[in-house]
Amino acid sequence: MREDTLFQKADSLFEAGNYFVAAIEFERVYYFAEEPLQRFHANLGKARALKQKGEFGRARNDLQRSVTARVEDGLRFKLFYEMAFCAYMAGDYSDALSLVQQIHHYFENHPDIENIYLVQALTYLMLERWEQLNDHAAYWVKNHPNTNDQAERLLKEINHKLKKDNIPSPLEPKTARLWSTFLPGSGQVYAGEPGWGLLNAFSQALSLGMAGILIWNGFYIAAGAGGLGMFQSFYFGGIRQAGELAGRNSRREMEQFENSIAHLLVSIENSLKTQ
Amino acid sequence: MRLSVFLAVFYFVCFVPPGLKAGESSKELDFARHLVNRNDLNEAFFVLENINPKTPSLQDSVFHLKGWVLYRQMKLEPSAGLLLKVSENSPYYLKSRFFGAYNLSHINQTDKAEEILYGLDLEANTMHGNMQNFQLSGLALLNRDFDGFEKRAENFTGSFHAFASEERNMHRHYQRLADAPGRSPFVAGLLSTAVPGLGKIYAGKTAEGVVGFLYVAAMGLTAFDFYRGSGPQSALFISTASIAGIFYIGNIWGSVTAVNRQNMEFNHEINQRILFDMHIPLRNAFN
Repeated sequence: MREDTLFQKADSLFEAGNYFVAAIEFERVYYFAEEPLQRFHANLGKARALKQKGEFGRARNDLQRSVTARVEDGLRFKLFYEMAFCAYMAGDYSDALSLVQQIHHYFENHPDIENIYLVQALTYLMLERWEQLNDHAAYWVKNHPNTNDQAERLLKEINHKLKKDNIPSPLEPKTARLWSTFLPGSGQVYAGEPGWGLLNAFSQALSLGMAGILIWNGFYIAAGAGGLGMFQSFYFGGIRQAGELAGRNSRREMEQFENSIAHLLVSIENSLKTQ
Repeated sequence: MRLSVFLAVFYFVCFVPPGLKAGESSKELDFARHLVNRNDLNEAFFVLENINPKTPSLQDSVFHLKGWVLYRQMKLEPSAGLLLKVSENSPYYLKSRFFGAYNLSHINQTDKAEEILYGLDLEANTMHGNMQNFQLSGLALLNRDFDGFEKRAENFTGSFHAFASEERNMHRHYQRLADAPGRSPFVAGLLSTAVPGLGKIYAGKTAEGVVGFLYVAAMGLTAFDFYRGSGPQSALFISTASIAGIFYIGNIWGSVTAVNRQNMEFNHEINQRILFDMHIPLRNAFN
């Protein structure tokens, strides 16, 4: 049992929204408490305060201190859930996945096991494990005690988005650079920026044309130093720009795709929780 | 007997100022140390700020720990201020003095740092005495006081593990500083006047020099080409010659600033190395 008198100050600070001092007070209970169970609760409390401050990485590390504590299964489950959630929020997706797998190993029959399903799905999403995400989402919706039509509909939408043809294929900067090496401007078109492609090709043609006119008029040195100098700047600059645009647009497209799936996953969780 | 107990209680209730009692302060200090060890530095500082130390030794511990937290957060000036408040009776006195002086060295207050180190009364043949000599040698190098460094370096023993290799490093830094060519901005400008880019190469910026030469040469040759083909009155010649002139003058000015830039970069780099080698022994000796 959690001794509420021990936590009175920390709890009231937390309730008042003073998370910085609340975290200190929870840590104080952790440091001075003699009972392992109270230390365990203090650690969970501190993680709660750190989460409110957005310090998920620190919360994840602090929670690790309680992994070896001997407590009942429900509390251990809560600890592992918090660790997985904080690892996910801290952007450490491989750690989050490892913790999710440990939860399945240790707590497969736990009555609240479905609480971890959303974190698991989001982790698969961020790791771009599309097949596992598809299978997991189906298992989640079909086996949830509160499954309903809305969740089924959202699942279908996810299944559709995760079909091979609908997943954005990454734009390779190397390919974009290769295109622009042989056909000026084409790398930019490949990267989804035809405007930049046209501008670059036009600039190269203009500088070459200028070099040609200068040669035609007998200004050979000026043609070499000015016209061809400008041409090489536009040519090599165009190759580099194509690679950068491909990388940037690829990331943006994937982020949009992942956000749309994440939105659907959260909607599934909400529909299952509100039933 | 009863009266004396009553008076003692009465005194305690009435005259001991509000805040934490000595025992509680000590506990709080332990808790603050725990936070520092966990790297919860902001939290540790907050706890330390709220300790009201009742004894001078507790006060010293608070100053030391607050200074230590700020040092870990790289807030070196306030850290030095707190560390230097630790009194001579404290077991943290020496550590606080050395780190306080180091913090001041790091923020270019080398005179103050020297004063603090000179103020330490340490026996020459002890580890701390040698550390004092070593830190002063580092300060001499930071001040480019080569005579001072040579005097200090005569006392290097190489027999204290905490800073034996740093003593050797200090010799290397001294050698590098002594061998550093004293480049003149005037010479750099003169060289670039003769051959564009040569001043930058002299300053140690070879790539910039070559590129500068190519730009000026390309513009100059283009202007010459237009001069040859269209004559001195042509707009093409005038515009390209003007650009070439701007490039030429810009290159001379760039060479002058390149020497200053190179000197600054060299001094900054070597100062960082000296400070690094002054720092490591402190961490070795006092951790």
